[in-house]
Amino acid sequence: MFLEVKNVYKSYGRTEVLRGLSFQLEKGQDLAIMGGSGSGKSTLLYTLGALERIDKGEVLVDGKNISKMEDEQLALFRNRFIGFVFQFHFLLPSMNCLDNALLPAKIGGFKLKEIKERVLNLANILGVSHCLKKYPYQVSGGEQQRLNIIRAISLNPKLLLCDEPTGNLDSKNTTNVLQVLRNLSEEIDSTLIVVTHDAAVANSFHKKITIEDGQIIS
Amino acid sequence: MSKLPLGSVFKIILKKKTSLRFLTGTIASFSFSIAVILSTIGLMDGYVVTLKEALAKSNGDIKFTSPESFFLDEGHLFKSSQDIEAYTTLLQLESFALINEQSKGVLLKGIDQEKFKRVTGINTEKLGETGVLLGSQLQKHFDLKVGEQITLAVASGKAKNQGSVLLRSFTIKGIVDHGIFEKDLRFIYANKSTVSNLLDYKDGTSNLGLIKLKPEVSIESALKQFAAKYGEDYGFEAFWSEFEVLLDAVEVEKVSISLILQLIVIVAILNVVAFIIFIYEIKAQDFFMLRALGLSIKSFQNFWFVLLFLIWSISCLISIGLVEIFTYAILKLPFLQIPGDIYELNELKTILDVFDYMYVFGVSLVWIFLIGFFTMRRFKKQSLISGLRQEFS
Repeated sequence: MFLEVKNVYKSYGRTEVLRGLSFQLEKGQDLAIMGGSGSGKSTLLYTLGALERIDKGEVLVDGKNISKMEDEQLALFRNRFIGFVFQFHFLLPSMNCLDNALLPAKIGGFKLKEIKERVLNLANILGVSHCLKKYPYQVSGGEQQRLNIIRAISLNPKLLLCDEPTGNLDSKNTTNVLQVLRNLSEEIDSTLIVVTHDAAVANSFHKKITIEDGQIIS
Repeated sequence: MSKLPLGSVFKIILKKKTSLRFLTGTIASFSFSIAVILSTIGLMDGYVVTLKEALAKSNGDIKFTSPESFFLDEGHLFKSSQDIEAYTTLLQLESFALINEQSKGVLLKGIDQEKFKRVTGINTEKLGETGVLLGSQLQKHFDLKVGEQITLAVASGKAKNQGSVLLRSFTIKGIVDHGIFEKDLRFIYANKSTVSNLLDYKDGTSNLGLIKLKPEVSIESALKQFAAKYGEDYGFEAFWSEFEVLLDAVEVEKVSISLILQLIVIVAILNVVAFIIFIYEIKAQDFFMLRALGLSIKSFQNFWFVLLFLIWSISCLISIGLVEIFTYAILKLPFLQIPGDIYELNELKTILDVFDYMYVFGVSLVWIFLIGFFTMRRFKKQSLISGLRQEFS
């Protein structure tokens, strides 16, 4: 089993966000997480991505129990194992798009030459080569999202987590971005997990879960 | 683990002009508060050092007197002592200087010029029988010049004329600057033999002695040794003894004031904390991203501590500059110069040694890291996602 979520609980103060959540995902499967606003779907995604610690339960990714890892191990895990794609792009405004795409490599201490080649190749495939020297505010929303995807997969992560990646895009860009995510995750043999509001998008995934009040309802 | 260059993080933090301005203000207030403490300590140290130097200039290392007031120096006192480099004896008495119908109480000091120079370092012009040297403030007071005449009135020492006044004119041969206001205003030097003759005292009669010790001998140990060896005939005092209480008071005050002034540092450090919180809030999204991409809390804290260290180092460097400006100002700007009649000294400047810098810089470093540590701890406890959500709520 590639991903195992066992009876996970998470609270912020008195608010219980995840309440005994459990599910599994096999390698090669992709997953769509659906749910209303405040249902806990983003918290679940961040938990899977080792950004949030859980209060109770276990999360195992590729056999590694990330709920028991120390901060340094979690950081290393995020850098080497996870790719994040966020709805609001989160490209850092203080650096150009190429530096943004190379950030995971810089943080992880990788040799930049190889990663840069890969980034340039991906930028070529996704049609954003012309954006690399520009700053994020100088490129369109669709281009920003594609650059965001390049950054997320620049280190070939085994798990690609996307928080409403098309939530900010028009229908044409939504189809493009989803297709790109699918193709690239298959190419690098990565498991894709997407949080979405869009039922049509969710239906195209191997597996789909719906969360309400911190529990899986379907 | 993180190999993210510090420059990249600083670029993220300081991208906005507001952040840069805030940082500039933070460094300015921090360096100013450090400079205030340094200047205060420097002034007090400057006072102690200058006063001691000035006292040594007129007293040598050790002063000695006889319990019987007068004693006879025939040139072979303390012959058996190995610690003494040179000594001299003086015959001094209260007198009045009379100039153009004005008078001023002075202390006429009869000196053996050669020996006096060896002990105190004061280089005196050849005085001869009728020459005197004037303290610099006394010369200013009467507006006298070298070569002019001054009349001194002294009480007669002869038994048959006891109580009567002797008037004697002298030629001013030079000006002496002791560095101590009171001494410069009161001291007049003449040849010891001239003063002895004036009072009709036997040659060698003295009422004060000054000793210069060999460089390797400490004053404290010499005082103990002399007291044990010559204690019956003479009383010995360190050169600073006449201002000892004042010097002790300044030392106590220095510690108290530097502790009180830590409040200024704390206020400045609150600015640093405000800066951290400001940056943390406006850059929450960027920091979240860095964490998501693999930056550990530890690496993240390290960046903050490097930033705090840089703020501290830059502030320390600027504060050194501010202290130099302050020192220049108190020496050169008339309205900032100290009144010598109150502070005893003609001139006062800040003197800071390595320990002073280490003390002030060290304490401010402890403060900045202590408060920085607690601020970091607060951020560490806060959930990254909840912080981010708060930011966008």
